[in-house]
Amino acid sequence: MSGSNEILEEFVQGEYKYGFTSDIESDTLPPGLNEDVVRFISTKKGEPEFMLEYRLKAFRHWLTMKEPHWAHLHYPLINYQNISYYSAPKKPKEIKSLDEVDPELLRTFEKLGISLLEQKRLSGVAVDAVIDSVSVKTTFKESLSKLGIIFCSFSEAVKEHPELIKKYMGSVVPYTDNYFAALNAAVFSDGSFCYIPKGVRCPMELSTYFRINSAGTGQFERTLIIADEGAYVSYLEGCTAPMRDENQLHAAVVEIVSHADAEVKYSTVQNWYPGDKDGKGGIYNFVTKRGICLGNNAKISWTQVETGSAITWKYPSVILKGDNSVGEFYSIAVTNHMQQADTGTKMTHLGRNTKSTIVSKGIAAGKSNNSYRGLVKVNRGASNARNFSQCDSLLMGNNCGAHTFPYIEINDNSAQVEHEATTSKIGEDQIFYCNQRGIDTEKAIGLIVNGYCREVLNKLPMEFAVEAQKLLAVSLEGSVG
Amino acid sequence: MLEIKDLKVSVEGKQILKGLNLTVKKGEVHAIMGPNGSGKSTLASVIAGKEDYTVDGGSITFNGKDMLELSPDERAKEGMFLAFQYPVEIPGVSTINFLKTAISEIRQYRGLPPMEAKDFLKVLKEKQKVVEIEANLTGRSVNEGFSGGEKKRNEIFQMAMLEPSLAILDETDSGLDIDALRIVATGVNKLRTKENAFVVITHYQRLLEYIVPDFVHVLYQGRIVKSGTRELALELEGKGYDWIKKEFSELAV
Amino acid sequence: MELVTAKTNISRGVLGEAEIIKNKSLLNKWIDEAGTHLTETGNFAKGVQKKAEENFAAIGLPTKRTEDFKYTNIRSYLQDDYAAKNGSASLTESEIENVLIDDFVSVVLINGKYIPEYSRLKNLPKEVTIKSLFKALEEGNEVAIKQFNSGLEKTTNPMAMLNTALAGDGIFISIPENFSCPIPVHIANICTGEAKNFYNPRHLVYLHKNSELTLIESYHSVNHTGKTFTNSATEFIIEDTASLENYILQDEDILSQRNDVRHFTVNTGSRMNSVAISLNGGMLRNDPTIFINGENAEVHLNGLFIVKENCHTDNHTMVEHRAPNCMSNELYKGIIGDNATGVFNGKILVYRDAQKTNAYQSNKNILMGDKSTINTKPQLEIYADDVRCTHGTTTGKLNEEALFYMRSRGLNEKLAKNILLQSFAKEVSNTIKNEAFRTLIEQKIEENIQ
Repeated sequence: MSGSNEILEEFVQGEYKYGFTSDIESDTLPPGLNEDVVRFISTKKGEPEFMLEYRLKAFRHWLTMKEPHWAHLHYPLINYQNISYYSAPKKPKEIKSLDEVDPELLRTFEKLGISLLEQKRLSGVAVDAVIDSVSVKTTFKESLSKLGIIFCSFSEAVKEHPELIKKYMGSVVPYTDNYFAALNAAVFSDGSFCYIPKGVRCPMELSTYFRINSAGTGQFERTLIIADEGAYVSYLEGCTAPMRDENQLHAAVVEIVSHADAEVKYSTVQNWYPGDKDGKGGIYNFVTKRGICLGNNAKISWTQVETGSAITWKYPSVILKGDNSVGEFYSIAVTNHMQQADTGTKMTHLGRNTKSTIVSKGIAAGKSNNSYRGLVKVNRGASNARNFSQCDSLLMGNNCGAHTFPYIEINDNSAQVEHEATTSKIGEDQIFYCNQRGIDTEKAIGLIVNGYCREVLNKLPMEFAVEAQKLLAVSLEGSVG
Repeated sequence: MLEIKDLKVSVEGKQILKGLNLTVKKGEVHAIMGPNGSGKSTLASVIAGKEDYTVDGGSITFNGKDMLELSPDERAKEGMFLAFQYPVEIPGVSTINFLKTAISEIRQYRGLPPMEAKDFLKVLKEKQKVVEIEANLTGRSVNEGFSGGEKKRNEIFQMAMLEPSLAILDETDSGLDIDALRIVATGVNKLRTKENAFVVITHYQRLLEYIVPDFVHVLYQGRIVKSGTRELALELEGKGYDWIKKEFSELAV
Repeated sequence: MELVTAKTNISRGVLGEAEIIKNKSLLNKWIDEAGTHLTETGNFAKGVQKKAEENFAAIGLPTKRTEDFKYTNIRSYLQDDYAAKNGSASLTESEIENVLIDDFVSVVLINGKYIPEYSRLKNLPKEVTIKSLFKALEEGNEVAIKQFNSGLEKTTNPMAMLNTALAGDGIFISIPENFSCPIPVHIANICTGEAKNFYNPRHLVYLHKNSELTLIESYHSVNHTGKTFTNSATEFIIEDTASLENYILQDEDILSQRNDVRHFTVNTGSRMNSVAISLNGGMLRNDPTIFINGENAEVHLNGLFIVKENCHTDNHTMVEHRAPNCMSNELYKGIIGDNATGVFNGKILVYRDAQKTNAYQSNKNILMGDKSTINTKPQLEIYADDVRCTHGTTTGKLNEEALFYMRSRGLNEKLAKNILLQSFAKEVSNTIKNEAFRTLIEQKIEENIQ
């Protein structure tokens, strides 16, 4: 089907919409990393002593570690001394109202379709806008605080709620966990913090919008979400970056704590700049995301739509510690051009009657490589654990690769674990069928891909699902054969 | 409406259609019969524009337009519909969403404004009644997990929704029990108007008891070797295809 | 496929000078102990072994961080103080009597060494060559010389490199063109010896164009007085339109530790079916690699492991689709009891040019014991788009509804369980075409399920 291959080509040429740069005045540290830099960041943010100590411990540990290379990814060695570890938009201290926010910055978010003006808000979504790892504006803080919900920037939480930070930060992803988590713990600049008190159902979606802006910087944000007993929150994360010829490093950490009977839904639409079609530029996305179902009947659900980044290294995971706890991972990962993604999840079953579900849909086009990598581990004593995994890959064109690397480790004989994976391409007969109904090949491909991803898209909150569907179309429009 | 002249088609170097002529005017129903391997399904696929076939000669015009110049979706947008012998499954895409997309594409092609959601739903309900298809089938993914009969009924339902001026039914009767056959045929009959036309491709005359054709053609070894009225179909039913084979075996190349 | 090679290098990492020297000295110790270096048997082998030595020294024995050995820590079985040995006729004929199978041609190998005087070849058609591999090389047998190490030349598996470097004399089998061997050839492998003996037998099986062979390998222990380690390697070359049936029965004692490397080269229009049944042993690792080099080839790879006590069993399989229009089908099933561990790590690799590949892989396990473990890692690595590849794995306990149903019909629990387990195992044993051997395997399965 040569016709559809051409369209595939076009699809592959789909342009990155968010690649503009913004002239926002910012404070940027010169490149380089040492203890002084760590101290500088901490001082600059006016952090309490415990935070600096934590950072230094993490930094010293990081020095002893080696960059991991087990993933199915190929990229030149990263020179960590060539990255600037702090960049923040200059702004007047204490923003009282939006009038004081740099208008260029407001325009940036408007361009991204995110309004920081509460009256123009997306219905029922509170937004924390993070630019170059610094939270610039959190909406709806006051109305949420009436319910006892804390939703603010990470820096603010460090100052205002040190007891919560001390208790939970690093409890799910310790700085010893891996190379990038250690680096993040040493140099993170900001991020979002969220605490839902006992029995509270957060009435609106909470959302963080991440944007890398400055050149030559790394982005190291940190998110911590705590749902106390019986609480519920749905959290959304979006990310974009300008088009630059250089590769930029993004090494974030997200920690989720779900107490007994609590539920956290975390949805991501990751649309970092993927580089151009020859693989020049793009974000290196090395992210550690993990949640723990601490109490009985707790639930954590990850849903991700990954279309961006030159390199994605990301395994949102759940530790199922409480009895009857539930972990879910729903993922769509699209790679095109020269993109590489190695993504999946880890489900660690510790409690009794725990249940996990993994649904992963990988789509590879262009010259990209798309790998699912996942671990399902059932510890001895985690009786009646259940897991179901479905990992499907779709190849578009003959220059890409789709790979599935599941690891299943079972130490309990009452476990029931099922894994299925398929790799295929879009059927020419499906395209022809659509054509025959008057739908051209490009639209047909979009339709079929969306259908293929339906199970995952259905898990996204409404506002995000629409955005994700469009994004799938943009990332692949013109790319299937 | 449809004019096929001296159509020659081959697949992987093997000639299947060897100079086929057919003229269909609006308001007419044509039946094309023939033994297995005579080229019936090839004809349907070539009219719809499937790429696996090579047109070596001849022409297909539809309402004066050269169809061979058009892509499959353009042909559909011109008002041509093929009810597939083996309808394909499209997981995750609901029939409703599928039809909504198809209708808006076709309307756009014809310079019409998009259909309002409530009008679409109204039409949807009407047509569901016409072809006696359960509403839950249209809510499900296109053909996914459908039985053979359900798939065929879904084809007729889509035809009803898209209102083509020419519909080609490719062995729509195959694999249907008598009840399903009647439902499909009734649907077709309800959709017959003076403005549209049907080409019914079938191996047996059974379907023609329900969809009464104006003309019957016998396709054998890539050519239409006999044309007539409904009586020809009955004759075939009585004598089988052997007499055709005997009579025209010298055509074999 | 630069990508894949590059990947292997990265995951392996580059060793420092000191480690390479350490690997070299360990290897030299083993070379001295074995004393059967192929340099004496002809110049052709000199280069082959030298290269293997260098390759091995550069990476050394696999560690827990070696991805392909993630769940089988070779170093915990094969220690530096193991002494490399060669097989010999160290047993009497009566001691090996009961492992031979009457209906077949029986070839006796003791620790990999061919013992003609114990073997029963009177029914062997004269067209078939069966002899010591080293002898064939010494005699200048063209097939042996040409094909030796042809499959493993570019291996990235350190254990295969080690076997080439330390190669002990094994068996050479060659089936001539257009010849269908009417009788199965049974290789009875007997493991004997004392603690810390380390054997590296090397075998070569060659099927000329359009030939057919059923090759049965069985593994037994006799007069075993301590833990031994066998690291065997067999190269199979299946030429165009030839067909190989290969059945393996591992039925040894708890002192036996073995890593069996099998490399199959499958050419145009050829067909192979390999079935590995692992029942008893201390550590049993099957490591087959299949290179599908020609179009329209068909590969079946099946395995069954029924293990208990402290047995560790590992099926590590690699199917490389390097040519279009081929199919491969893999089925591995495990029943793991007591403290035993089962591992399945299968990979399907489809090269960019291998369009229209159909590849299937299935692994199903039942954990019986409170302390049983299964680690499974089915992998797909695919670079061609017009393919159909699937894998699936399930782990669970016996179907309780079926158990209850049977008990309600008057069967006691044990019997009901046995019936279910046997039917679970049968899916694999049914892939053995030779009836006599299948019957024997079914008996063995029954015994081991009890």
